[in-house]
Amino acid sequence: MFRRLLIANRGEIAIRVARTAKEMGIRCIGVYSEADRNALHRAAMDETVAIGGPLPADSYLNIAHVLRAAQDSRADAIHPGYGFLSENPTFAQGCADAGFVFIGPPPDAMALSGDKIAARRSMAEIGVPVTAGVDRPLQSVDEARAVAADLGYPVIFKATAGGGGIGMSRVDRPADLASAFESAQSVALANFGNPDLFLEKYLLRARHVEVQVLLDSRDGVGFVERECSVQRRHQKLVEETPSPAVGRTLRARLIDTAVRALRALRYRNAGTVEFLLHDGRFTFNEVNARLQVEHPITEMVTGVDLVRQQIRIAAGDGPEVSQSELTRHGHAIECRVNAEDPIRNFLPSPGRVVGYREPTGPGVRVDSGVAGSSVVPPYYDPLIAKLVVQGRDRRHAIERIRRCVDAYEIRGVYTNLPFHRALLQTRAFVRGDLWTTMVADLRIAARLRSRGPWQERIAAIAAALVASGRVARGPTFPLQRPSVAKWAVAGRPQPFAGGGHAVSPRRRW
Amino acid sequence: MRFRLDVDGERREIDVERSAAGFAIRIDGAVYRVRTRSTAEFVDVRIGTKRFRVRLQGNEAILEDGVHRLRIEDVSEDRADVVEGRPTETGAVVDVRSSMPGRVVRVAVAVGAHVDRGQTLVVLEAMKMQNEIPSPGDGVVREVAVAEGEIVTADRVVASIELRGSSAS
Repeated sequence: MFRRLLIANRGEIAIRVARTAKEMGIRCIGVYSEADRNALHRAAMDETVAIGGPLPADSYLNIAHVLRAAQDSRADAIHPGYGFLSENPTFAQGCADAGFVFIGPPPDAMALSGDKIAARRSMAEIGVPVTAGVDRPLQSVDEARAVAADLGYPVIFKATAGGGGIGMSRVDRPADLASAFESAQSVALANFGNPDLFLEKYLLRARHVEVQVLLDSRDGVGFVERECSVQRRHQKLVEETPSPAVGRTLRARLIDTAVRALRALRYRNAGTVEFLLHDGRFTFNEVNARLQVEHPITEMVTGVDLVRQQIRIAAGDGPEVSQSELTRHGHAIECRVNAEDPIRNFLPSPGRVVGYREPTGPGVRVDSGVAGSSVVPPYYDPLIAKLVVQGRDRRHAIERIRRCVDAYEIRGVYTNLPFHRALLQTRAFVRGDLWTTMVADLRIAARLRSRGPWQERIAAIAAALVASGRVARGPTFPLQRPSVAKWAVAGRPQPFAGGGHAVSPRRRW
Repeated sequence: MRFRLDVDGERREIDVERSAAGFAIRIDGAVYRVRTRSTAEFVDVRIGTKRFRVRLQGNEAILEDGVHRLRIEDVSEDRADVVEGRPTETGAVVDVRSSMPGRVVRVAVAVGAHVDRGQTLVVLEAMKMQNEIPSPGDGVVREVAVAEGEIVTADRVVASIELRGSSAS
C-alpha cells in the first residue's frame, strides 16, 4: 500500500480524498495555488506544497509543477480528484514516467475514453447502442448540413476532445447550423486545443443515466445507476440514485453494458459510463474516466467507499466488493452547492464566506470545501459544497434534503440554494418526471422572482424589516447586522474580499 | 424614517411613519397601512385584508411566492449612479460598473472609441464563466479603468462613457 499520497486538487474533493487516505494510514500531501493559501483543503492535509499562481494554468493544471511537488514531497502515488488534470492522459503518463502511481485508469484507456468519436466506435463494435450520429470529425459546414439533414433536427454538435458539457451546441433549425458550427469550433479549440466536431441527433426530453463501475484485471463491479437529468447548460445540478425511471430488467442491462463497455476500452480503476434514456431505450453517451462529483450518492446507498476502492485497485489489492455482494438501501440525492446567484442568471459569486452552518442529522452528508471565513476565489469552479442525503425511499429523501437545504446557511457569497429550494418543490421533480432540459423548460430559476402584486410585497418586506428592527439601527447594511454578528471574523482583507454584495470582513459590527 | 430598498434588483425609496395602529409605508406615492406581528422566525404583515408571512434570513426575505434578494441603502449615501437612471442625456458621462468580481480577460474598446448601446466594453471571467459588460448607451469611451488580467471587485468602475443622444435626431 502507498505511504505518501499527493492529492492534486483543491476544495471539497481534495478534502474528501484525504479523509479516506487517512483512514487507510496514508500520509496526505496537498497542493495549493497562491489564491488558496488559506483554503480549507490545506488544513485537511498532513503536508502541503505551493504549486504556483492563482490561474489554473499556473498551478493545478500545470503538469510540471504538480510532478515537481510530488517529487519534492516524496509521494508514491497521485490522486487527481475530478476536473483539472484528472482526465489528461499526458499527466497520467507523466506520473508513470516519473515513478508515481496514478490513481485512475491507464493513460491509453483514458485517451480512448476522452476521444469521443473513438469511444463511440468502440461501443458500436461491441454492440452497445450509440446515439445516431457521425463517427468522423466534420470537415465543413456543408458536410455538417448534409449529416444534420440525414439525422433530422434537432441535432447537437459535440467536440471530439470535449468534456464537462463544454463545446456542445444544440441546433434546432438548418438556418442556425453554420453559426453554431463556427462557434462550437472556436469554443472547442479554445478549451481543448482541438477544433474537431461531430454531430449527434439531439434527443428531446431524454434522461441522463449513468453507471459507476470499478474494474481491476480480475473483477468488474457495476453499481446501481445514478440519474443526473437535472442540469443547466449541460452542467449537472442534482443527482439521485436509483433512477425513478429504471426498473429491474433495464438496470441489469445498463450495469452489464457499462461493465462490458469499460472492459472493451481496457479500462482499470473507477469509471462511469453515461447513457441517455429515451422512450425506454438507452444509448451510449460518453465515458468519464475519473471519480465523479456525484460519487457520494452511490456511497450513501451501498456503503462502499469508492475512493478507498480506487486506491486499493491502484495499489494492486483489488476492490473489496464483488458484484454479488453489493447491496443497496433506500434512495440518495445530491444537490451541488455552487457560488452562483440564481436570481441573477447564475452569475458567479466569488467572495468571502462570513457565516457558515451545515445541516446535519441521520442520513445527511456534506462534502464542503469552505467554512466560515473561507475565501471563494474567482479562478476556479463554482462548486463549493455537495449536500447529500439518504432516505428510506425517494419521497423520504426529498423531504430530508428539503429540510437540509432550508437549514444550510452560507453567508457572504450568493449560492444556488434558493434554486434547489424551488426545484425540490417542483411537481415534475417530486413525481420523478425528469429530463435534461427541465430546468430551462420549467423556468425554475425564474420562479424565484415573484409574480403578482409587486408593490404590496415590497411594502410587506419593508414593514417586516422595520418591525424586526433591522432598518432602524444604522444606515449601512443594517440588515446583516444581527445575523452576521455571531460569525464576524476579523479576517485579513482579500483583494476581492466580499464580492460586491458580500459583507466586508473589516466592517465592525 | 426613510431608506432605499432594493428587492431583486428593483430599487425603491421607502418612507415609513409609525402610528399607534402600525405603520404607514409609502412607496412610489402609494400609501400602505400596515399592521405587523413579529415572532422569532417570521413577521406577519397585514395590508388591508391581505396577509404576508415574511421570513428574514440574512439578505433574503422569504415570502410564500419565493425568495427575494434584499439590499438596503441609506438615502444620505447618495451616489450619483447614472446607469441606474435613464442614460439618455447627451453629454452625460456614465460610469459602467462590473457586474461580478472576476478577472478582466478582455478590454474590447479603447479611449476615444465610438460605441453603440449594448456593445461589449469589457469581458470579465469568474469561475469559468465569462460575462460581457455592455455599454449602457451610444457614445464615446472617455476612460477605460481596467486592464486585461486585472482582478476587479463587483461594482467597480470599469469604463466611463460620454453619452450622445439617440441618432434619430
